[in-house]
Amino acid sequence: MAVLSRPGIQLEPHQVVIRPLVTEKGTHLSQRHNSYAFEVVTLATKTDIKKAVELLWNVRVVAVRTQTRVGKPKRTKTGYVQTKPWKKALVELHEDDRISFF
Amino acid sequence: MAEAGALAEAGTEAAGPEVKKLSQQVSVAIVGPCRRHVTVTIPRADIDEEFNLAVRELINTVKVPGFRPGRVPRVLVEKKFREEVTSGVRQNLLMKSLEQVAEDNDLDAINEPDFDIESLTIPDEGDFTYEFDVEVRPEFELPEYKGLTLDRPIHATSDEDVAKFKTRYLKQFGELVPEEGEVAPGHIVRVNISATWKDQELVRPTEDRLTVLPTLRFQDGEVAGFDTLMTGAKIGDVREANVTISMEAARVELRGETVVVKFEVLDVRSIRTPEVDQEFVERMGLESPEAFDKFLRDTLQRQNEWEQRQSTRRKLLDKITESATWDLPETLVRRQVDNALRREVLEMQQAGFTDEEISARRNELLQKQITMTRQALKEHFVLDRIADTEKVEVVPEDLEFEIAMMAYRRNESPRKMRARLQKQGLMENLVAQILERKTVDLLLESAQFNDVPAEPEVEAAIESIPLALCGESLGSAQAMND
Repeated sequence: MAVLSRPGIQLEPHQVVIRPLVTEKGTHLSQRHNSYAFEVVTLATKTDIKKAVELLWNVRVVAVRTQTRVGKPKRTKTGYVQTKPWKKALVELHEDDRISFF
Repeated sequence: MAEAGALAEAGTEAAGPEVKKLSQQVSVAIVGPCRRHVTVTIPRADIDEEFNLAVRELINTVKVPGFRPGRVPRVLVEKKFREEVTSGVRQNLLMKSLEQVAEDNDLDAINEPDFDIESLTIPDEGDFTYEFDVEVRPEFELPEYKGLTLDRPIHATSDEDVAKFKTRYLKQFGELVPEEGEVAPGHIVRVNISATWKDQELVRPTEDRLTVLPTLRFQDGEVAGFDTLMTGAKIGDVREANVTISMEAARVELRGETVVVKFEVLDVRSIRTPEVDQEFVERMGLESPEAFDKFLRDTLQRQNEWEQRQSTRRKLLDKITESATWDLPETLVRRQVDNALRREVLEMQQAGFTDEEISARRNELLQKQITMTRQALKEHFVLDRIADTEKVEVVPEDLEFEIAMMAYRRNESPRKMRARLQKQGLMENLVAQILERKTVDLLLESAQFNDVPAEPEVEAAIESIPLALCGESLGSAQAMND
């Protein structure tokens, strides 16, 4: 079932969320603010992310904040290359909902 | 028959945080001679505590991407490293638990408990129970071992004995000289040996060199009175003897049958011993014929002393084990017998025996090994207990000295000898051997001796040759001697 109703590419929930970010900062956010960090596909909008997380984990999403992380230049033996830009989403859940990544 | 043993419960009080005791329950049941069945139950609280400790240690050391060391959430560590933590906890718990079992229950075990650590799993909930069988030292009353009265054979080194020894000693330097006359006892004859049974030729004429002694032994039969048979024979003469084939012969149809063995004399020789003159003694590295006589007397005396020591040792061991009717740990006996048997079979294989021949002798070997092993183990246990009671100990100097002596005998460096012993895992055996010897020496010091004349020496009376009369051999004589 497609999540998106707007024109263009229709993404499935599992295509929107690439992986949860299990880091020290992410764990802190989840414990303190009930916010969870995910790596998401760059095409996804906040609405896509909200719907995908609600569907995948069966929770209520209160807010979504996104950051687009630009790719960094990396030196290789043939010269400089650029790593891919990626999108990070911080999803704040309803205070009664929780996600357990581990 | 299993008899319920004492149920021991270890106390929970701790002497310190490092040596906190487990509050485990241990039940020991007797399940056979020198065999105990131990059941240990470790309560959940102890398992959880051990688990927590392991996780706490891991949190501080583990590296997980996205986290600084020591900041990894506990749940994540528990989940991610579950297998490592569990196996570590199992190992620690078992080690602690086994140590505590040994301490609290006075189990004098002689080997490791026979269970596979890998196959044990700690349950996710509830207590952890494991069981194992262990062999313990036999319990017995020590026999009276101080002030024993032992028979000590006294070898008189008379001039006659020295003369006999001198003849024997000189024979090894003797040369074979042809004899013109008739065969006499002690001569060395070259003969053609052939054997027939009911006109059937069993052995084609085979040339061999024999010493004319009272008995001639083949692999499957013997000629009694061989010396009388051959005495008076000349070169070209043929002498016949009837020989009964033994019941162990390779050919079944010939067992117990009488075959005719013919000896055709081809050549007669005797050993001429060298003259003990100045040249001979100088070659021996001595100064004069008198010094040679003294050397012989000393050698004979040393041999006699050695035999006397061996004999008193044997008598002492027999005496302290004669009342030992207690049971031995069967698995230990079986293991030792198996080892010895395997060694013997390997030697026989190397000597060229076929598998059928080896399996035919297997039972006989087994019986021999069981008897020998039982006696050796009894001696070991009794001596070990005496050593324990008398506080006999092997100090490093004893070990050094023994290794140095072994190295000297083998013409090797002591360091090399020690390394080889360690590599072969024989160090423990050596220590046990030294301990037993020291204990025996201690017992011999307190023993009283009854001097008895030694039994006269039996002169060599049997000549053996590696020939089977029935034509098929059960192996070479060389192999049998090995």
